[in-house]
Amino acid sequence: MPDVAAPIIVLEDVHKWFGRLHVLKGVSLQIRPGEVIVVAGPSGSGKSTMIRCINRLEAHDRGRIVVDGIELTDDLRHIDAVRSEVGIVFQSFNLFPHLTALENITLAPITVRKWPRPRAERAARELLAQVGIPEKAGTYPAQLSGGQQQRVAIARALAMQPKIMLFDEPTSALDPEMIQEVLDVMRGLARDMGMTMIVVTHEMGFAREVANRMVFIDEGVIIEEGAPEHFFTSPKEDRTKLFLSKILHQ
Amino acid sequence: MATQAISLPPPKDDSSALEWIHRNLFDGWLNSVLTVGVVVSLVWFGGLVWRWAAAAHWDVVTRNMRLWLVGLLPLAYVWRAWWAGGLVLTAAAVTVVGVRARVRARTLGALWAGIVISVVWLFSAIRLDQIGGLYLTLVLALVSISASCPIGILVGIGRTSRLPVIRLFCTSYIEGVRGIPLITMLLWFSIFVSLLSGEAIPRVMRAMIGMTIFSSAYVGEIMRAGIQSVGRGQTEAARALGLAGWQAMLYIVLPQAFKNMIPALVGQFISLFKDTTLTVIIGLSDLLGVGRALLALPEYLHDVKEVYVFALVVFFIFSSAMSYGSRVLERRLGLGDR
Repeated sequence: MPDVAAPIIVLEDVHKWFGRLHVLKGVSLQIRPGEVIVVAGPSGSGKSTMIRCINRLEAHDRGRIVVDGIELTDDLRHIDAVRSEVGIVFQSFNLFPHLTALENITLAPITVRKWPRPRAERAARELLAQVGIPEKAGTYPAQLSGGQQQRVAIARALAMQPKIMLFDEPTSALDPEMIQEVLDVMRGLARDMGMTMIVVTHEMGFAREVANRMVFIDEGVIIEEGAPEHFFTSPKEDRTKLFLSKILHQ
Repeated sequence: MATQAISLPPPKDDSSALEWIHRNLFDGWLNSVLTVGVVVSLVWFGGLVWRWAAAAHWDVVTRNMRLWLVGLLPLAYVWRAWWAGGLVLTAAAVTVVGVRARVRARTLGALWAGIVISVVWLFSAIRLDQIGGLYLTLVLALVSISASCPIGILVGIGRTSRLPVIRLFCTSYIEGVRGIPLITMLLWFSIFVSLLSGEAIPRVMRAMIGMTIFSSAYVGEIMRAGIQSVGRGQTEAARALGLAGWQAMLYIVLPQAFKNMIPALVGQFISLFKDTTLTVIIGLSDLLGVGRALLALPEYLHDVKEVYVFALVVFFIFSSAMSYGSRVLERRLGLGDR
């Protein structure tokens, strides 16, 4: 069971300021290999900033972040080492519009991992099949639907064979009928591959079903964390109750 | 009964040519007056130009073709100029056809590499200062355009750098050069070099360097705008995949930025092409310089109109060719957006 394993991600008293704005006010969190963490919280609460700190798209100002035994500091080699183990999926997809779906996926393996092109392309086609759009290899992002774009983005992140996947509101920019196809891919990742995942999302159905642990953040602090069955049915904190009542009664 | 969704073909536009003319040219009295007015003045102006062109003394052009094309290049070298020009023109034609036929970029690149090597060899025997006429114009434009591209990219990237020293240097270079007219830059640079090294650097070379320094600043500014037009999410996604900063720039940002920059870049190059005429000020005789020299001869004293109309037509042909090339390039690179 993952319970006995050493944590793969450790956040200790992490602080972050944007100018004078204090966005993370001492966040501490430990995540074990294979765990799926769903992070919830009102907008502007610092949840995106927190996961962006884990692969150093943002630099934290105080505290410690250790990913798979590597501490994140200004040392570029450490940052590169961590980035090649952590994949991230963005709210706005951020696919490269001048490259086809296949080229989006093979770019990093070829340029960073130095894989020969045929090997990278074979792996990319397998990944496209895994996310359910094998026929879209030669298509440019602009010709794909939002759900398909996000699935290519997931395949692109997986191509680097990361140990950890971060999801920053992966379905918030999608039309309702496309949300499920992306969530299905994420369910598959969690169940079949045992991927360690941190997911920032408002999809509470998905959270209830897939998450091992819920983390509720408000105003830069972790207010409450726990197993989804307790979190949804008997939250301890008033702010959690208020948030859940707002989000579940839509 | 369930309604079935049926796709219909779009309605056909089966209006005749007459109907089209009526709808677009004679739609109400104001449009009719405008149409008639424009047609009448076009015919009148065209007739004027035609009558003048038929009566003009084109001897100044036809008898001096060699001067117009290569200036005072010694006769022994002229064949080299013909060959170089012929090779480049052929390669340009092949490229246009090749792009249409979707030939691989690598093949065309190899063709141009071969052409450049042959041209350099052909010119190796000629002293730079011996060139003149259209050749000088083209050589100046080509060299300063090709040199200002890489320098401009570096300066443009430097201006967005996080390191204050690099940013300050690039910003002061761009702002400094943009504050000076090209003609001042050419004069200043030529005199400056003369003071330092006498005649060690040929004047044509000085013009090339001066124009490159000048143009690089503008290209740098176009690059900066192009780079900043690519969203921050693109760099973030590339960095998150483990690409180094320069790899993200090379594979992700620059290709997208370049596409946005083409119109501005080609505009800059067209203006640079025309600005080669300013090198008359440091004693070079480019296309326009040859024209002025011919006008000083007693037999052509009165052919001012012919000389300047010919120069105008030549500049117009080359500038519109560049515009056309940029449109083709834009369409080709627009592939990902459709």
